Amino acid sequence: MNKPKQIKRWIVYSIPFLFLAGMSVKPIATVVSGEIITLHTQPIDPRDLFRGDHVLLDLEIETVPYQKLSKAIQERLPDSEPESSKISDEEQSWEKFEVYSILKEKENGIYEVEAVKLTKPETGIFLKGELEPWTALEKEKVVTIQYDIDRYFVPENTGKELEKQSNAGKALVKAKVKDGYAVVQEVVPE
Amino acid sequence: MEKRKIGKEQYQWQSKEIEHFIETGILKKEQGKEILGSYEIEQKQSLFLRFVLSFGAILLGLGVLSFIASNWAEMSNVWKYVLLLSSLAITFGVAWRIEIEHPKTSRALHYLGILIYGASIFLIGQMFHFSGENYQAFLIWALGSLGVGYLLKDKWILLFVIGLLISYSIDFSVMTSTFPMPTLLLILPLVYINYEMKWSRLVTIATNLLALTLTYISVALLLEKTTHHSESFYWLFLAGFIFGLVLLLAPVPKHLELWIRLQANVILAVNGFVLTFEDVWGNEMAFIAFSLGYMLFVFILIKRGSLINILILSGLVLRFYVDISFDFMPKSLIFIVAGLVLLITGYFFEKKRRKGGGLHE
Repeated sequence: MNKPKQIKRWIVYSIPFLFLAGMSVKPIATVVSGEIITLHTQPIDPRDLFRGDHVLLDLEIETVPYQKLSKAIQERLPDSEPESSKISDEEQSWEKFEVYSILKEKENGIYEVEAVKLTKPETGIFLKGELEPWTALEKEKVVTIQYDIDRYFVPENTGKELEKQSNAGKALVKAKVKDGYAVVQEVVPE
Repeated sequence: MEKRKIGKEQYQWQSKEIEHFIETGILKKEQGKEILGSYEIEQKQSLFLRFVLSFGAILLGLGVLSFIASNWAEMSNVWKYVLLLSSLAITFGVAWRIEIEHPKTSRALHYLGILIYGASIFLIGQMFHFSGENYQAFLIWALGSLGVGYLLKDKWILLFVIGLLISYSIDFSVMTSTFPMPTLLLILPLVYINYEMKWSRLVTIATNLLALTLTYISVALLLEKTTHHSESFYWLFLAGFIFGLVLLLAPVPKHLELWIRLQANVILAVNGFVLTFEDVWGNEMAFIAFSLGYMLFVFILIKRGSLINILILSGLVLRFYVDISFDFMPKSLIFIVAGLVLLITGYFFEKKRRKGGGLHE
């Protein structure tokens, strides 16, 4: 086989590996050098055909009181529902936007949200999330922020058991965090 | 000169034929010897041995998979990662190595490699508990497989890639209400690869379906963002109808014409049929104008010799007939008349076919 054809082969066969490596760099770096935090959650057991048995994590830190939001974030939240469904400046305020939740450890070792900012903090433990502005109108003085840790994969047919054990109380999520990105390590009943 | 390898039966047949040509004076003895000398019998394993080896390989493969599956939960992430990447590397490596001597086995290993790649994407997602929906995984799977499809010029791999892209596009647009730009950007490379394959029929039809999917998605998203879409539903099917029209009239390579025109007629029929309902338009004048215009268009196509449009016309006639008559005619009479319409259609279809009409035109 001539050299250009060989090079083409190497490139084509490398592409899948590059994608797999690309997917793994951030999680591996987080697991290796991230800080470990503990969060409260309520696990729910659905099923994913492609990825297997898992529990959905309904984290306590997803529901944030208004007063913990920075002034800049509060100003972006809508006061009322838009009048029409046409594109307008009003509707812009209904789109999800990126925020950073700064976490603080309580006495019981569980982390909670101390403050939420629009800009990435320089130091400390924080999580990048997406704030859902419409939730400001659904509940009194709280908003919902979605983070990248929303599920935990479990061995086959054990999800329901974990959900049952947690129904009496909550479950604890242990995750490694680095630079706003988190990887779940473990979910156990409290 | 390198000898050409052929099977034992073929060699014996060739030998008999050359003997006959020599006896009848068509070939000289030296020529016959030279021709036969340019062939050699391919050494093949016995069928029994091949079966035993294949069965053994399958059992070995199943055993390995079973071992991995039962120990997967106990393995550390490091070992899982090493296992996935090394399986992928070995599969593609062996596939490349044996490509010339065993082309069919090599091709099968390439397919296996693509499946291992897909499994790796999902398993790595599982290992690190990735959030989000599956559509991102489908896109990565498609992108990684496209190169292999291009390398081998394999239509099945390309069909698989197009299937993944259709799935990704629909999921992505439903989940995010955003247009799947990566898919649009991949249409051109797909067309280029198809061109290098001298326009495979299946890949062309699948690429057209992908383009149609993107058309529907863009119109649906536009409707969602701009108007009260329940009143503007017809735009979706109008876009599909125009797509079908373009496909019907666009110049295509001769060997593709039958299939592309057939696909175009099917797309026109599906979208056109939906557009003959007043509820879709929400406007009586618009629906009547379109229905009459479409029937006229179908008549013109039939006049040009299109057989499939005879079926489409009978479908339209039945549809309007049932619509108009259902409330006031006895049901048995409805069925009798409907049956007669179909019989008449069949008669005209057969008559046209004998005159030399084209199914696709």
